[in-house]
Amino acid sequence: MKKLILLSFLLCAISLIGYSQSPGVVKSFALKTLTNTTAATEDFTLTGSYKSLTIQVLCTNLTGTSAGIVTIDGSVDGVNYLALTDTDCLFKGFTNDTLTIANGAIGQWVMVGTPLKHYRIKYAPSGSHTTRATAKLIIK
Amino acid sequence: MKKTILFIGVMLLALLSFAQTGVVKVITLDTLDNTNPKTSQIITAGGSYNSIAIVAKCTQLGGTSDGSLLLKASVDGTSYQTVTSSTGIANFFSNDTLTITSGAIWNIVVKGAPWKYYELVGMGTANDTTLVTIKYIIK
Repeated sequence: MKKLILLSFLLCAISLIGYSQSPGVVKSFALKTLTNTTAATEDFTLTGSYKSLTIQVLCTNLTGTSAGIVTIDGSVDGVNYLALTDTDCLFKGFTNDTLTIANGAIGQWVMVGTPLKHYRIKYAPSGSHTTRATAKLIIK
Repeated sequence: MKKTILFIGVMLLALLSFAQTGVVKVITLDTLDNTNPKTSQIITAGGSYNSIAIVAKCTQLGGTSDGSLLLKASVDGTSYQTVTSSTGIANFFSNDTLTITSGAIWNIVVKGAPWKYYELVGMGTANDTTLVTIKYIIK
């Protein structure tokens, strides 16, 4: 009986862990404050196979004049990263693969098939400012 | 008896999960009658699907219909970005933006439905009124 209960709990736990990367669940990253020219990154890993990955970044000016760029990098091994650029049937940034940081700027990037394991949202701010970056993603 | 109830419950859940696919649905967009942008009802596609196909038809109610329609999408339902043609992701027939004329029809196919929320935004002009009828199907 004890084994049965333990097994049930384990199955539930495994199910919950699996659900954390289930299709259709919006994942929000912790709010990030970009300051002046200090670069920042947000890394995440997708081990499963999915139809698509969509990343969204919203920039909100806090002080000064927001400036800089946001790009998406990808990697097979989590060590060697390459910048992802618009490629037919694989990756597309809306409206461009590089988001220019400005107050209210919204960038969205869609990757078809999630062939890579490691992904990185790369912030390269410039000028004198503080800007809040709100990043979210959905996998399907 | 318990097993029968459990079975029925599972079947109902299965039916609910497929309820959104393969069914043509209609969403509304307020009549375009001035230069203020009007936003349609939201299409929500939270699950994993092969495609969303949307058709919008413009019907002239007064004046000479003009203006434009475009598609926006969002991950969280708050921050929307305009979707443009991208091979393997989104195709528009025949342009990314529909130029509104009387009887104009716009078809959109979003492959894989990678966003969760979708909306159409219409912009008219001051001297005409245009009804936009929008239907979609998720598969």
